[in-house]
Amino acid sequence: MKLKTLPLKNLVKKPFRTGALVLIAALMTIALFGGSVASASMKNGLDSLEKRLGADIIVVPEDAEAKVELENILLQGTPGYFYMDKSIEDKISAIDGVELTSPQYFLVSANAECCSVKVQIIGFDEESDFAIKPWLKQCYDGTLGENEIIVGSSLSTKVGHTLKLYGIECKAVGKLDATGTGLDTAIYTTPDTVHTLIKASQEKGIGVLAKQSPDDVISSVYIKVKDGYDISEVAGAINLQVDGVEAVRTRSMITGTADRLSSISGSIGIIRNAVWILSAVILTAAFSVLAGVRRREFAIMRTIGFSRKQLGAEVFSESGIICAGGILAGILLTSVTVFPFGNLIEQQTGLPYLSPNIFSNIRYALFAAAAVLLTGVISSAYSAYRLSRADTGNILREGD
Amino acid sequence: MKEKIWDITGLVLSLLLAVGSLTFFRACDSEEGRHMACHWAQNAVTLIGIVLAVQSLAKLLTRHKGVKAGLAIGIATLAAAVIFIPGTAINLCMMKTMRCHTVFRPAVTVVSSLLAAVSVIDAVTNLKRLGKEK
Repeated sequence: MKLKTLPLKNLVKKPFRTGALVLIAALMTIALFGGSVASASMKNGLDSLEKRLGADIIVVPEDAEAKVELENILLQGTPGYFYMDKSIEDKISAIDGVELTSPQYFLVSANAECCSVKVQIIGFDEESDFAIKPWLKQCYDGTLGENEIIVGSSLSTKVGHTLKLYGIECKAVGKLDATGTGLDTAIYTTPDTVHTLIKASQEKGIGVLAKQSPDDVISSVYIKVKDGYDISEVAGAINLQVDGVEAVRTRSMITGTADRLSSISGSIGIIRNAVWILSAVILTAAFSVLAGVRRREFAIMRTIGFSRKQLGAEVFSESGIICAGGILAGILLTSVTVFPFGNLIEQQTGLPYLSPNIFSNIRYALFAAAAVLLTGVISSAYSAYRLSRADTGNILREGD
Repeated sequence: MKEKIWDITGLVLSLLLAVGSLTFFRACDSEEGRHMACHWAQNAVTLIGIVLAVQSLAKLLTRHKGVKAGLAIGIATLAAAVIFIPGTAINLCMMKTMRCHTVFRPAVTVVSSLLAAVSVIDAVTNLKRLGKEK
């Protein structure tokens, strides 16, 4: 028998003991790897939302529901609509400190052709837009033609394909980058196409959830503030000088989300560390108990010629194999749950969720593997020391 | 008993695919008596899940290593094909936030991948045993 294969054979001969220890190592890996990926995904989602909103201030109608509805549209992708007079944009542009303004018009489609689902349609002004086009993943020639749309990343429609809305074939000419937010489920188009869609819905007798034309009303105005001006002061000036609107700082709008995310991330962190510490304690206790149980076995090995170093190596090898098994199982289990079900996690938590790129995920997996391996080796170090230093003669006599 | 572990695992995964695709990881529900696009993908997955379950049962009952290896290869290729049914071979609904994208497709991918992996290991094990017997 080769000595190198002895640790593995020892483990295979005791399948239940080995299985239990591998399970503990797997739980530790799941907590470390899964926890890191989940926290990073939520942080990515929030960062992406902050960047993606693009504007310093968003102006919506004054009624209380509009702000809540805007948050639902942006964060959860719940389709919604609200309107204010189109002339408000000119009033806002005239306020000192406002550099750029871009109006948007919200429309909620009835069920799309394929599925019983409402779709958020956002009509935006191409000339003044600074919030949507910078996030185009796949470029188009620059201007949206008649019945041409840009789709959010969560819509399965591919660039070049068409989507039928109220019987009108709308061609997708661009797709936006993923944000992990409600913005991913919207369709973006020009007010002219919105006009066509409303007309088509009326002709078909389908109730469209909007009663006013984009010629007369807008839903929101995205504002970029000039350098050197205080954003809060500009927002305050808009609230004072323009009747019937509410200027919301985009940063303050996502503060609630950031707070919830911070508390969830904190909880994940506490669970991750608690599982890690608990697993380390259980592993140390298990290896220590096993060292007591296996004293005779190691004494015999010492008698037949194993050196102290070889006995120590045997213990470390066994713990290394156990940890490696746990690491593989843990990474596999995390990979088949956290990655494929990312969209479900986003829906259930109601928080922006954007998985890190593959290199970051590999880094998290390597970190978790190193931490579990190190914990396993440290946990077995005392047992290795005790077994290799034990008085062989006394142990064998005890058994007589 | 050891030899049966892969057979039993394969049968459980096949049944999970057939039953799960109709129940706990089913695609989007029909509304107003209208089936959505993903309904047909769900039917296809359920049907193939049943075929896989029958093949897995046959593999469990037979003792001939060659037949077991042949069935395992068939199950592995069919399970790998199932991965491409939702979204590639048959379209799902338009929004990736819908149940067919968030629950049905990932669950089918995970269960089919595991079944394909288990069947490949089983096929290799049986072919090795067959080689040793000869």
